Amino acid sequence: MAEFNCCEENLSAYIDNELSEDEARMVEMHLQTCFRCNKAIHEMALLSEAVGELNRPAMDPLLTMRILNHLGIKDANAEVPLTGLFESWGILSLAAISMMLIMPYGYAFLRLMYTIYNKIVLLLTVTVHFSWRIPFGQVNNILGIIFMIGAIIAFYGFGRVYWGMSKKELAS
Amino acid sequence: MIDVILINQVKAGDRAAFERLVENTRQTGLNIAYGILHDRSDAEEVLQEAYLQIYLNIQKLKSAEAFRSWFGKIITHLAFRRSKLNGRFKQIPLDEVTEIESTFIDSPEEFTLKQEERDILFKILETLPDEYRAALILREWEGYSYREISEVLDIPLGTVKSRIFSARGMLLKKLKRGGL
Repeated sequence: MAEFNCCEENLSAYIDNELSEDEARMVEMHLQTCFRCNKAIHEMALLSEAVGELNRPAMDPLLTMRILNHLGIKDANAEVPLTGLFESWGILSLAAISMMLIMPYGYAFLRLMYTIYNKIVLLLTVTVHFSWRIPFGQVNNILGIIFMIGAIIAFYGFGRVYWGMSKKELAS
Repeated sequence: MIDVILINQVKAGDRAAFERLVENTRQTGLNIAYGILHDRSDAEEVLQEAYLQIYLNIQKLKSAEAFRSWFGKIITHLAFRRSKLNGRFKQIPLDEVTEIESTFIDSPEEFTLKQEERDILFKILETLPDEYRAALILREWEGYSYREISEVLDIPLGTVKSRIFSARGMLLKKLKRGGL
């Protein structure tokens, strides 16, 4: 059993500067004569320093944007779209990556685009050939429009309900 | 240091101020969440939830000076909840508490911390019970005072003192054993 003066908890609080003046003075006086506590405080200080020096996680530059999107808050710059666009690091990064890709691979990229363009008629023909061929007619057209509008409304509605539910759960 | 004027602007509903607040505090928040969860993706999700709660409830904050503790409390609470959901929340076994008492004083050899021991320290930190790790991380990484930690974790000041001491004791014991 350690003596009252060899209170390790106080040593731990001492290195954190969390003792009152009187308590700190008592610890300091005790340290002048106690070899064991000197050793203990040295170990604690070493450990504290090592924990303090551990690597922190690097910050994802897009995290703020993700947080604000999660909140449904638009960027303050959005009120002035052009300013937001030019001040945005995102657009600069995109431009830099585009330049890096276009400079060495520009020729190959343009050739690919050209080939796709040339084959677009073939692609459309194949798509039409294999598509579900419903003949145009008044009834079919009306049904098609109703179906598309319904799908859009349902998609929007589910989105709103989901957002509302998640907000409620997190706020509670 | 949290800017009191900024907090008051956020409380008044200034969205640009809220964005600045996120910029100023996100690294602290991420450090606390990551220190508890040891998983970057979980920590980022906790941070997103935390800012949503801050945004929705900052009106209830009585004084701007209390923001630092309140912020830490929201992050640790959500991180503990996430840890429990993941089934990783760990509490301290009783035998470990009794062993800690003599960890520092009774070790015969001279203690040094070699580079390889520093490298495994983070992994050892992960094995600590969540509530102890949280107290230590708040102290060592973010410089929270014992009083602030007691507000964040809702525990008495004396418990903060013993938790930080015990966390150090457990870390040291595992380090001396050569790892996990």
